[in-house]
Amino acid sequence: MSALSHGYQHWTGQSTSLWQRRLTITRTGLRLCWQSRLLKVVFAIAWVSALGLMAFYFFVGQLLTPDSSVVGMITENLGKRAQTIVNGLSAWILLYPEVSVDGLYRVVFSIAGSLYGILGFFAVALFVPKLISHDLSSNAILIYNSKALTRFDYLIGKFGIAFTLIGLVCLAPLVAVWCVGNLLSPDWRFFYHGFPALLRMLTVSGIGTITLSLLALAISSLVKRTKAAEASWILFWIISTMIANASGKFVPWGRYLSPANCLDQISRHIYNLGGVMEDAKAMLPFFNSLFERLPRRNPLTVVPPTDSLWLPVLFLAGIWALCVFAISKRVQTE
Amino acid sequence: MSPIIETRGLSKRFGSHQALDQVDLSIPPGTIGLLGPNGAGKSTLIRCLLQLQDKDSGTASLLGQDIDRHGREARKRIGYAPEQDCHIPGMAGCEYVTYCAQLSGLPFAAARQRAHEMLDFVGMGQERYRKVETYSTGMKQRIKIAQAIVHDPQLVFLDEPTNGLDPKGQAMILELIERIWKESGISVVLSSHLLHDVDRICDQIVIVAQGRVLVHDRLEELKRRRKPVAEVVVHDRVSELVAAFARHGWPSEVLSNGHIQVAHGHDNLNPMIAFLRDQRVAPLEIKSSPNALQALFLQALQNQGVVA
Repeated sequence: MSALSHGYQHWTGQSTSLWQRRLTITRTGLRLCWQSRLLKVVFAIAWVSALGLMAFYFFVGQLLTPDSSVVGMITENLGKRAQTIVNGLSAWILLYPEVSVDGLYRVVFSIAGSLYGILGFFAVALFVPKLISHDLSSNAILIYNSKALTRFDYLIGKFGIAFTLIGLVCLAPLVAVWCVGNLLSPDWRFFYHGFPALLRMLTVSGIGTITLSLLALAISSLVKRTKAAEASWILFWIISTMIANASGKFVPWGRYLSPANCLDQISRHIYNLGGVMEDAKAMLPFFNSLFERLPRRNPLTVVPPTDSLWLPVLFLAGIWALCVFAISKRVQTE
Repeated sequence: MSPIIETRGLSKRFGSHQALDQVDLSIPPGTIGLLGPNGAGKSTLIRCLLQLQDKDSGTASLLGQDIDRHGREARKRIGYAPEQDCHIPGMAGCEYVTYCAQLSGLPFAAARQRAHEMLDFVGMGQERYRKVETYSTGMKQRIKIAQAIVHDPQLVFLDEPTNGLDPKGQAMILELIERIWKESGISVVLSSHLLHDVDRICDQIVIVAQGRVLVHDRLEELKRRRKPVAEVVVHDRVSELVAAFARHGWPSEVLSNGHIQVAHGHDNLNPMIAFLRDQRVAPLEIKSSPNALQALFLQALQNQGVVA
């Protein structure tokens, strides 16, 4: 049989929409990135730690449940002092749920958000070459541009890959913690009281995820080789933070040359943990004495934002614009 | 018949180099050979038409659609196999072709079915399940053609599709390209510097040099307009025969291989055969208009002062 014995058949069917074609790029990219074993490990860490946070909220919920076996275990094993603290906390939460539930979520989201951000950074290092670098080195960019797509369709598809992967590491676990945490709470009103904290978290993590996605695309579009792309991603953060910290000593706005510093300041403004602490102290004298007894430098120390919100936001917007410009220039056919 | 490619004053400049200079074209459906020396502007013309490169000025339309306003929609009905290797790392051949079909607007199930049909069409067997980066040059050329036609386009651009192939591989790819037009009715624009490839399968010729279109016509028409030439191979009496041709008013010259090239000016070889019989010469071989396309090509370049 001749190799060319198969006849040509015409295709008559309904074409998919433009968004479906963009989604195809995202879906296929996700499948290719998911082949990385290390990326699966990063995902596992993110979601296992989310399970830990869910367990924490289950514990908090149990504190408020009368005749809870968890509370019984605490008082049996840790004595009367522990029972007093538990009773005090339970009373505070029940008396001021609008502050306590919101405050608890803000503190947890603030700390966990930073840790998930670091995890997201490592996740990006693992898939950054697969975004655009490989397409540039293998000339696949030529194939994309010759199809029924523009370079912006291609970029939207690629942005979808980065945003989904980073979102699944940094954003989705915290949303899951909020949902499960409230489901395990003894009172449905917790959903209502915890909602502002969810909005704050979505804003901060959303901005962080978009920033990481755009930077990942920019680095990936500038470097063609796999190892070079990974190294550039890591070096970019180290060097930009060093430059920003050094220039911040001369001009106050200099510290915002680093996207990490911008995100940190935006996070401080939005979570406003200082406000949470003040509210807690005003409502329960126990917190007042507790915070005063803690050493000056401790993990709970709240560092207030140094500037107004608009400055880091402005710099971050500038970084986004630079990224979009660099990416759109680089994905043109050479 | 409405043109599949139409350009008016299409220009493109790279620094001081004018890659395309006021290109005006109107090409009807068929198999079109895009010829020209290296750096003539063939690939730039294709890239500008497909919007892979921004044009500086002029207008262009593909399949009746203006590329500036409906570029994306027009490309839905167009296929392109670039000259250089291009693949998506980590994908097997059938995945790659399926993906290309999806990018062109086919739903997944249809895309997968079409991908296998087209891989059968281009003659790829079990190797379709291997990663594309492991393919030989011939396989890469075939998979490039498969991805270019997988979405059933009406026009396909093939940029140097026989590059790097051995003669057997070249013949197979040319047979495949010929079938694309004959069996499916897909118009083919074949950019090549190999005149033999173009001569074998194309019915129209566009000769480009220094960014300008020098010639655009049907190949048969071009050959017909050209003064008929024959090549006569004789064992001896070469100089005697050249003198006889000159006396008869047929200019001739002896080629480096010893053959005599004669401009006889007739549609067929009968007058030539009769003349040789009169001269009592028994030729070893008589070829009508050998390398006609090459001669046309060189003549076009000479007319425009591109070559001396």
